Amino acid sequence: MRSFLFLLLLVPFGAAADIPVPTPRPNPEEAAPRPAEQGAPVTSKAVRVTAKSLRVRTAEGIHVCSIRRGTQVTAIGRDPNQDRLKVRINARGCPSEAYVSSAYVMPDGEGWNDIVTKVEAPQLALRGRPSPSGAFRCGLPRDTEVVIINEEPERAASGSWVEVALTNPVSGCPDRGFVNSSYLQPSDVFKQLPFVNEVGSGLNADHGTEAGTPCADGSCERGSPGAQNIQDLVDASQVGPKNPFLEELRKMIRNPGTKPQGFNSHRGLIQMPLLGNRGNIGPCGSFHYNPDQPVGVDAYANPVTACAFTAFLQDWKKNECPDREGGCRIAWGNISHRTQIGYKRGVWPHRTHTDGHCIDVRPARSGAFADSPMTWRQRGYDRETMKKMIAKMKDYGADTMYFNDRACGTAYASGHDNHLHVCFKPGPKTRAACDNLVIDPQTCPELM
Amino acid sequence: MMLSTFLLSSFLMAAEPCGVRLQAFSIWEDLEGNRIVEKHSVFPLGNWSDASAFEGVIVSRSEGPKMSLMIELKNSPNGRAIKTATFPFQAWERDAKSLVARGFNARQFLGNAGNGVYTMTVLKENEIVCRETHGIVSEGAYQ
Repeated sequence: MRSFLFLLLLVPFGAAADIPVPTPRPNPEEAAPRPAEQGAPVTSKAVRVTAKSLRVRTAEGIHVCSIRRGTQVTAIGRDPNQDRLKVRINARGCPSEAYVSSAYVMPDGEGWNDIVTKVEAPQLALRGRPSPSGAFRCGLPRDTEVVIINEEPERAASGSWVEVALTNPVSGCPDRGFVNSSYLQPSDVFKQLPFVNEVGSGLNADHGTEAGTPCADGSCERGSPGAQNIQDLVDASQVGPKNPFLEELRKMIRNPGTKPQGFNSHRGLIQMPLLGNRGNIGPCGSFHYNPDQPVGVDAYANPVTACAFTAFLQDWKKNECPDREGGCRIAWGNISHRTQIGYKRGVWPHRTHTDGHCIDVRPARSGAFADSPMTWRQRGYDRETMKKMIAKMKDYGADTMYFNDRACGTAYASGHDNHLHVCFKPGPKTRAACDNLVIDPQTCPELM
Repeated sequence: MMLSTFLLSSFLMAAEPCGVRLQAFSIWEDLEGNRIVEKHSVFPLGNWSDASAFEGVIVSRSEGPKMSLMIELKNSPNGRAIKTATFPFQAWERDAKSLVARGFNARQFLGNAGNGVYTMTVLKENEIVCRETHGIVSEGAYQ
């Protein structure tokens, strides 16, 4: 019986997906690809995790568990639309089959060493050390060919840093250095795996306006009678103590996979409520800058993140910045895209904004609020308010923070002169912030 | 046309910077009392990125008639232009004292460019008035 089941597991995943038995630990011999010249399809490949912690997701992209660096899994298919693999896993708390990003696994045994690949980004920094703070040597143009000579350099900032050598000289560049391999083209080694496409038709579909407002049905055109009368909404909210947004967030947190009523959601993320045709008006006096099209498609957050961020916004408005005309007003940008699970050039070039945990926030400014760029080097930047803002974010569970004004105690990252990258990841502090949140209709009328 | 563009490009190096003569703007919505109203902000041109995006550009009406904007997109400062377009400055309904580069949509033109530079040249009857060059920074594409 056992051998019969094992044989079933070797057939392509579609036939094996429903077998209700634990998946055996992958065997490298079982997973070894047959030679390509024989024309035989490869049905699986043993791979191991290179990231410190790799998120495992359902076909819809919902994060279900994480696996550690070095964990061995069996790749059994690849998604033709995303850089992700379908894998079999034998890890506690994880489903037996799920999806992982192909950027953070490598073939077990053979690894990436000596693999020739190309730069995928428009330009990729070649650095003197395997870290974003390593000395900048030069920018490698897109399609520059490199060979990976050390897949696990010492003192790497993360598992994605590799040492490479250029196959052809590039003007102004040394012949070797360190790059973040996330910006290299995916290797061909997974191309022999069969395609899988289990994602529902909701992915990549055009859903028109995305703002979770009456604009979705076209009823908030400028000047239309009754459009967005906030006082009406406030009055209505005072009938009962419950707040619909908060209620739905809590349902989603208690039961992952629950679809919220009255709010847009996808792959376990909820869209932050936005008012107006342009999607600029966020909760609790906040401002959403540069909304992507469809409006608000860039504002999807993990429910715990949405809850903790809302708690922060309410506190900030109530106690630090009651005037929405003031430069202290929170102006936030990208969170995560509704459907883009990974980096997609020209569509969603934000590798660190995929799980709905992290939010971009513009620096505080002195004087009046304006929807305009601000850097920490610019006149009008308000460092003291920025420090207060960061401290308060930490009170609500914010951890990872990139912002280049080091006086604020944040970490440096290129491109972060004009915004703070802050993450409210699910954890004891963010959950507590959420548990303690009571929406004040006067402070956050947009949520009513 | 090609020749005139080439000749124009060869003069670009000598052009003076625009400074406050050429400004960017964004249009946004906010709550005012109980209603949603449209507003706009005007600010100096700078690098383009998600957190530093703008909608279009304006010049002062006092610059006079027959003004136009030429914009070039390049992968690097010394590279060849990969995209070029010209837009006329016309009356701006949001501010009678300004002229807007009609038809220029910065998000469409610059938004998906990845990394590179853009150069804006203000022309008056095909004479160069001023020029500005700024970067395009796509966060995430450049670690």
